[in-house]
Amino acid sequence: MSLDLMLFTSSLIQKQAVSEIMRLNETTGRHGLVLTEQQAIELVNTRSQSLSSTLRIEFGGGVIDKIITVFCDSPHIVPGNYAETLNELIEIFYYYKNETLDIISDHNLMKIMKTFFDGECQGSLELLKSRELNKIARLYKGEWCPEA
Amino acid sequence: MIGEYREREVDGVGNIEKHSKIKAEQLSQEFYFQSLLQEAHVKDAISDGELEAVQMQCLKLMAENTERYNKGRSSSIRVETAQAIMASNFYTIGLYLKSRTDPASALEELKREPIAWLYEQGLHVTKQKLRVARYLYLAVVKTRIQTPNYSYNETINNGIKIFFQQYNPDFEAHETPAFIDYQLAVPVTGWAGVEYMIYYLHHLHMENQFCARFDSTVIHRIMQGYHISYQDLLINIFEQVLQNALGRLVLDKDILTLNLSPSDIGELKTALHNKSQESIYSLFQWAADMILEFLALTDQSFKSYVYATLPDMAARIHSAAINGTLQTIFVPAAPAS
Repeated sequence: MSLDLMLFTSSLIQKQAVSEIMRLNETTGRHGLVLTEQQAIELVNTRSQSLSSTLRIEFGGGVIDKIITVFCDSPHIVPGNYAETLNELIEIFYYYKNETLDIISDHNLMKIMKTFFDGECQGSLELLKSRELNKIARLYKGEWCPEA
Repeated sequence: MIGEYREREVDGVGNIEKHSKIKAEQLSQEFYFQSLLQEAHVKDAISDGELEAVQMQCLKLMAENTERYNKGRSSSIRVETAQAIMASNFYTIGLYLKSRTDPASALEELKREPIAWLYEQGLHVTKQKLRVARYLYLAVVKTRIQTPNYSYNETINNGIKIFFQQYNPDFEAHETPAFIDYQLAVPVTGWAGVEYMIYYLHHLHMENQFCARFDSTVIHRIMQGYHISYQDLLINIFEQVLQNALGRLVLDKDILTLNLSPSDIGELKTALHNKSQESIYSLFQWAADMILEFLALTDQSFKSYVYATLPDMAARIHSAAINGTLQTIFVPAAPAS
């Protein structure tokens, strides 16, 4: 038996994360948005792959439950696209966590994502990722300066 | 050592059988918590369910401490940072569990108490140990040898001070942030964090107290006899002082002068001629006892420390006696300048 970090990531984190996501159905159910256990497992897998590619680690539900809580009242998320949208939002979140050099806190990054998703992007994940968030990342990296 | 014992319930409903299978000497001092769990798992002293419960609580503690580390700004961190925080958590929990009577009691408490509570207790133990380390540091400063040796002075003046400035019990409890150039006669091994520092300071304090029984000028001339520029060498002063004192005692001469002339060394060569390493060890063990009694260093810790130097010393003396190089171990003092 080893208490090495990798042992934790292989099974216990997943187990804990899935149960935390399922608990959130109580809250999101009010908006008609509910995840099955299989969909919760898919979200955790998406998060694992994103974390792995960015050499990061997270415990428990981490940002998944925060993303669910922040976006569940979006007018552009319906039961038909709920799971798929969450998967993409998770990928976008970790991608831009790195692209903004870890400078923006989780809370603020999610707030920015929600504001643009509901507003300028009108529910388009493509516009959110490729246009709005891209501008912000370039701003943080000093590659872009908004016109006066 | 934990023996086996059984208890029988008074009402006879069933037996409560408690096997204490975990031996203290099998546990790592540096990774106590991990090794306790490992041994318990191997010896079936912890069930799979209990082990998983401990692991889940450790994960929860990791999540909470990660949040504290990130100051709530981010729930994800780099993998190497997470590994360091985990090692720190385990070290802290281990510090508390080590303070229990024996591994069996530690394991029972581990199974019974929440990990978060064990961790908090560990933080209290860490603070206590830091106080002990500070006390020992002051004792080292008070008893320091007056010597120009750079590594000795730099370690005491700055290298150890850095530890008290930079030691981070919250996220790096297992680390020992210090620049320790001065090597002890008996190195500290198998310890980490604040415990490493306590043992280092304790050993250094004992070495200082031993050397304080001798005139510092005499010590300086002996060290110059070893090497004229010994101030620039990474060399242990106590060990040389002890060696010369042992040599003088074997020759039934006053040990306080420490000096061994070429003719003294010749006498030692005769005394050690054809002696096995084991009999050299026994001879110097007897000599060490005499010296410690003479110097009124009667605490058992001094005896243990000096004895710990003797196996290697006996081996070197044995080899030098055969090769005719005893003067590299029992050094003549440099002339007074």
